[in-house]
Amino acid sequence: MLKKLLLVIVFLFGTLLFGAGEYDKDIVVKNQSRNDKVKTVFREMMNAYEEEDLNKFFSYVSEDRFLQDYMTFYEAIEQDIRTYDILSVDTWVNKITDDGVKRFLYVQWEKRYLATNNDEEITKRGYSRFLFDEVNGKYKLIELAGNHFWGGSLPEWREEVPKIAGQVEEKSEALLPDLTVEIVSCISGNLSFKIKNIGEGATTSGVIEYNTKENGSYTGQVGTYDDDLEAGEEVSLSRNVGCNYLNALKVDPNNLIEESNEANNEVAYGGGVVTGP
Amino acid sequence: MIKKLLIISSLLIVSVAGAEKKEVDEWKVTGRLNAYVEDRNTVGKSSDREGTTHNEELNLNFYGPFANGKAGVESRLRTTNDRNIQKDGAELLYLKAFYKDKTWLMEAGDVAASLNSYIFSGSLKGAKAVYKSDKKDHKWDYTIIGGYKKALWREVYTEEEGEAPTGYSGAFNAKYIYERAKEVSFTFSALDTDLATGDLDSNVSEAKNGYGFGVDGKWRFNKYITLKGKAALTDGKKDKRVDKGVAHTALYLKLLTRPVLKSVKSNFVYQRVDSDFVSFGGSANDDKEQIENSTTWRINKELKARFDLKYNRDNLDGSLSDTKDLYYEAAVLTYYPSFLKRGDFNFRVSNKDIRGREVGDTITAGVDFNLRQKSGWRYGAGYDYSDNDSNTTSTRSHIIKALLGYKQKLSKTSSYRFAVRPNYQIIENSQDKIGLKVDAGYVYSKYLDMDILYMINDTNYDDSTTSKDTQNATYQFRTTYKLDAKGKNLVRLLLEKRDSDIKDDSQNSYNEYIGKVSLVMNF
Repeated sequence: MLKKLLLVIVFLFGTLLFGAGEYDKDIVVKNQSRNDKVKTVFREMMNAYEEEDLNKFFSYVSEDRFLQDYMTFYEAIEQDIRTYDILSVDTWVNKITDDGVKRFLYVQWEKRYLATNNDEEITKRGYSRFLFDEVNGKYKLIELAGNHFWGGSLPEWREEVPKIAGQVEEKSEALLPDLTVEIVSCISGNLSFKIKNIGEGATTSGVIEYNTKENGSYTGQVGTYDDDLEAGEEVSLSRNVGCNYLNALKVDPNNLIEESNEANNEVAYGGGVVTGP
Repeated sequence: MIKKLLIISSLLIVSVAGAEKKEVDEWKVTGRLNAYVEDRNTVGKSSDREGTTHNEELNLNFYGPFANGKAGVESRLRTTNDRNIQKDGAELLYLKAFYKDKTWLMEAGDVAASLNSYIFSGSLKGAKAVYKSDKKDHKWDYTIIGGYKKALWREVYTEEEGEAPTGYSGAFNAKYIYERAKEVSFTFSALDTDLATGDLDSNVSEAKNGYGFGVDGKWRFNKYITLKGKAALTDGKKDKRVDKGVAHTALYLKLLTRPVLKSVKSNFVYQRVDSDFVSFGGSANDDKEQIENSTTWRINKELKARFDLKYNRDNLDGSLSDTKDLYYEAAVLTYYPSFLKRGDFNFRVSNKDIRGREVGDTITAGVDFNLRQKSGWRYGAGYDYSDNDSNTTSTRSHIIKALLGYKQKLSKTSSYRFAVRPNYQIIENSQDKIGLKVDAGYVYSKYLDMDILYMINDTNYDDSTTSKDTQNATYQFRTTYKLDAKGKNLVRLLLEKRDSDIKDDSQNSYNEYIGKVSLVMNF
């Protein structure tokens, strides 16, 4: 009994979660059938996803060996079901590369769906990588990378998915920054202000510009903050201005940074009338 | 250019050089051809998928005995006139040459490795060698891999519009196996990006270079506890173009214990990824500390329960204005009643609470019922509820689903089936939608089968919204004729019509007609 239990435990925890696994002893013949098995599992997962059958879908995912956060992936698929109505999916397998019994499946796809929060029909194209591992003789999904074929509706899951070479740039799904500016004070010619990134993504330009509107026009010199702001980050800055003539302050005046909201970059000061000491 | 060609050529030679032919098996050619011709016609609006397209994919493998082992070449090519699939008419998608014997595996071309996932995971155009000791325990195994980070072979020789800059990447892994289920593995990887190549403007995140070292392994202490873990340390630059953004060394740690009792298994995960960690060959979500537990309890033969608890936070270095804390709890209860041997009930509930820099609360609950009878009938029903509150919006959704299916054998090789899946969704104060999916299939013999599918979705928006009601319908017919009893060679026909109607919006309403003939041949 003890021996049996030990064998089962060894089997369960046996091989290949981490590290370079064993490679197949009969690589040529088994390669064919292993690749076919992986394609079949992928197809079954697509069917389960379209049929919104969570139990069936996750029967092809290995919770024990999953390299990303399993709970977040589960939540993301639930969210997809609530958010998308799939109209059609086309996939083209580009290649299957292997590491031992593990298989990287590279798929190009086109997905047409209706999003419940958006009355438009959306067509998305992408290139994704799926890593499958053999668990008790069956192939199971253990990692997703590239464009978001599954789970794209949940921001936390999107952050979990690494990029791959060849993937399509997803501007609409990319987490964008959203810069705002706030004036703290303007005393004795010293303007003290804060630039905040209230968006979901970081700025990546390495520089953030700002400018002041004085006497009704942006004629002043453009100031720069020579760094990036992560999502939620803010920076306190100051510059010398004529407080009596200050009308407004604007961040990213030349619109160099793509933001989720481009309309909240400016703050008025004193309503355009002469204020301050 | 010549240098690149030389490198690739030399890599390809690695796997076949210096060996003698062994008279055991014969050299063989195997393969598969998958081809189709498709015609799409869209009426009502323009579409970039319109017209007649063809697509041919050929897998070709050549292998046989070589020296004391086996060698061969595997390839995959595609020709198509569909520019949505690929830019060129013909493309080499996959090419790999290999040699293997009892202890060595050498590959060149499209090679891959899944090592410590924080350090290296993925495919390269390059070469890989694996040495695997033939001892059972107290042994070292080694893997080395190196090459270009490119999606396509064409990108190795020419520069494409929008292509990421060339990354030169490599990894070395040494794994010590003390005995089964007791092993430790050391991985080193490096990445250097050539900024003179590719389109950097649209691939800013690829401008990184650096190296990493990682340790991972597992250890079975006894029959109750196994510990798995991985740690990584990297150093380099997030963005090679500027002095700033140097990624300081960072530490990853992931521990997983698994006490195995008879009816309970419980996994604990702790992960901490420093704010400035950059993974140069693997994957990582930086700036995250996470602790979670997942417990599965098989209460008795009829009941199985699962509980998930998770907490994570960011802002580990305090550089953000506030921290985002996430609390997640979920429970799933599955009931297999003894009076319904082929049926189950599934109850699930979850709560996600986000606090700090962002605020939100999502509660979900669901129940499913499934029953498959020996007579061939299948029944299913489900209800799903979600309530999402952020500081600006609140969305409550209800989904009701049902399934009625039947499958019956007519003879040894003939059968038919059908399934009807209605569903209804309400998003409070926004919309309600009703959908129906009907599919039916008939297998006439082991040579011929056919399927039909009908799908309709009707969405009605509340008057308070500005959205227009929509109706989408799909009609599909598929039939497959197998040219041999095993189905190695087959022909498939697909006919489909899709209708998209938007109320009072003829400009965006359309009808699409698709016809497709496919051929699959294995040899």
